[in-house]
Amino acid sequence: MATKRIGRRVNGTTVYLLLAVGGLVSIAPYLMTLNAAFKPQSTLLSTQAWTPAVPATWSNFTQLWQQYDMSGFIVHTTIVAGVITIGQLVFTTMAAYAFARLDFPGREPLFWAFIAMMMVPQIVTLIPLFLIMSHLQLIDTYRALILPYVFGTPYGIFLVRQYFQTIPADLEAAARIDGAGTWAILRRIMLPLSKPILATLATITFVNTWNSLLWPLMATSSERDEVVTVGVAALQGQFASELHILLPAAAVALLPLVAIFLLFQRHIVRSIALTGLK
Amino acid sequence: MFRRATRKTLALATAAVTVVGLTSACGGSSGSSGGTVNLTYMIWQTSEEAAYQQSIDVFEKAHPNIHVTIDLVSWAQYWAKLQTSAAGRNMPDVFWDHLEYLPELAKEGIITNIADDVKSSKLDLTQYSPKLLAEWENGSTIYGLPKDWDTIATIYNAKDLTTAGMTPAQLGSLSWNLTDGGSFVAALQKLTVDQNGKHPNQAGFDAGHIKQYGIALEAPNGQQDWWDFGVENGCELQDRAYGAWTVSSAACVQAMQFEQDLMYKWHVEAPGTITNTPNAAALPQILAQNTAAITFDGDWDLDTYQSSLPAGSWGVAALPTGPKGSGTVFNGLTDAIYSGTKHPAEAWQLEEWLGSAASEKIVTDSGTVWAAIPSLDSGFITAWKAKGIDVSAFYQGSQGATIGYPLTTSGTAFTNVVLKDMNQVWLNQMAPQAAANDITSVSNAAVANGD
Repeated sequence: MATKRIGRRVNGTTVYLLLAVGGLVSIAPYLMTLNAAFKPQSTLLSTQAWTPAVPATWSNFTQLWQQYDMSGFIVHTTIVAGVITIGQLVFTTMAAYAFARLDFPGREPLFWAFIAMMMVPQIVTLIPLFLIMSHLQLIDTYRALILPYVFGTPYGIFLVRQYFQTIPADLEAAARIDGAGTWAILRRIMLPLSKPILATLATITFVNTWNSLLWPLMATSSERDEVVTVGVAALQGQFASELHILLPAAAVALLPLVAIFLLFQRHIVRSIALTGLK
Repeated sequence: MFRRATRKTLALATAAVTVVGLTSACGGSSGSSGGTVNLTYMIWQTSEEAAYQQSIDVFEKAHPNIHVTIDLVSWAQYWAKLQTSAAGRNMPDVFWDHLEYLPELAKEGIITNIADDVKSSKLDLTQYSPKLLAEWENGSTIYGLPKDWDTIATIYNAKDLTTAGMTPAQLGSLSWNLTDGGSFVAALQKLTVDQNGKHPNQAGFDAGHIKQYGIALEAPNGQQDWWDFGVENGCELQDRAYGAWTVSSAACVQAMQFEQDLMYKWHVEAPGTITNTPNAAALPQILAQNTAAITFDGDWDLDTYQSSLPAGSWGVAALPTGPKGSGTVFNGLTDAIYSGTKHPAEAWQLEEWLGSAASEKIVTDSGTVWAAIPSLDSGFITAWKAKGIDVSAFYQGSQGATIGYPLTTSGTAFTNVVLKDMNQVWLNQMAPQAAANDITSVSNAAVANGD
């Protein structure tokens, strides 16, 4: 008995120890970025990344705001990520419902053709997309950043459709008998039951949009609509980078994502457990 | 059925309205509005933005009908962005151009040959450094007015130099050779220390635990390392501009071999595990952390050394001389005009301003870059003297034997293969001759294929 209990305790300790090490390895780069952001420029390069920033200074942050339009970058990114997230929630729900429940000719081939788009890497569509936006004279506008992604992605539609299919059809049938139409069913039955997956979709979309660099880099060329990733990336030089500005910028750019995660943490964990998707 | 159809139409209509609302939500794109011409000027160096903005402010005052937006895109993404926008025929009107990319851009016909503009504006091209101008001219074409130049020099940690009993003047007058390494290797031996305080030429030196290397060199293509040893050994990368690659010649291979020997025979240079790009720490960081006592670097990094090392703790010296004398890599940029710009006249006005002595003086006097107009170069030296650094070694380098950036349409192939192979050489996993043969054959094949 006693040895068994000790064995269990050792096992538990080992598991937690391993988890702690894993957690530390994952979070260390972020902590080092944050730490370095508080170092004065004169010691930034001469000390190791893990040497604590003593004395800490806010001067890098002040410089970041004085020399660069950091608030502008964050506002632009929030607008773009916000509109895309809301748009994707609306349109993905409608598309997913159509693919999951509505009966129309060619539904399956259409769905699989749509899903096949997931296999096309973004880099392949980059130049065609640029050409389209260029012809529509939308380069260097918010519309160029928003339009390609606001109507949902195959991944999002697949995610929500699979979830919709787990909701018993009987619920819908019962609602229909009570006189509910398609809209009412979608709004009153499906949506309330799909909160975890929609929260997941919202988080994934927001985070992806926030982190996206390549398309915003190509599509914008002025500070009027420059997003945070493009703004931060521009701080890297050909050889030398202004690390004392780059690191606080990266740390600041990360904060909204941490906030989003903390806000939706419960939903994210639950939906991963529910769908088995990550 | 009817009701369902109506609802579907309604949904479609809602979607359509959203799209329309979205597409008309924001302001228009660049071009001309209300008589003002908007030009975009794309650059890649953060540290130079302020000086160029200052110059453009003056330009805008003189040309109230032109508004210039600087688009700062880092080097890592600059060329990808440029090539995408070239494919979309929607490029910045004026942008920085580099010799590594000039031949390909010229071949694709997306940069303007400004020869006619130069003639009609009666611009005096002789004001520019002839060596610099020559790289951007090809027969009767000229693809941009030179805006600056750069060379490579030695940067040292002053304390390490004092500890080794050496003066900056001594450091600046070293020489190397292929037989015993010369005074350069002897000096690096003094600057290299293992954890027991022993030097590589002393008994009991532990090459496995070196505390401070004499030198650390780092370059993705060779500009700050073996090209410099190469020019001092009579190595030519090409038989002529736009010609065949000759990297496998004895003079070039010897230069590579000399550097590999610095790492693995003399144990005075930090090995590839520390300096291989793109993942290595930047040279200023290597010097700041005392991983090495000296390095070779371009003047573009001066600002970083100045901000990350305490005042008076570093300095600049001339490169060592080699078997064929002194030499350094000499390179410079121009401003290019997009051939499809909607405002060619205004773009030329901007180009002419940026290439003028007035604009180059603003930029050079701020200590940002050396000017392409030689009479202005003293301004750069003065600006750095005020910060306590003597940068004249870069200038001396530019006056001596130099090697330019290779001019070729096979630049992409060369850049890729040279990074891959030389990283192996610096890890001691490939012989310099084998690397040089591979680099030469791959790059020459690219020349033959015309890509």
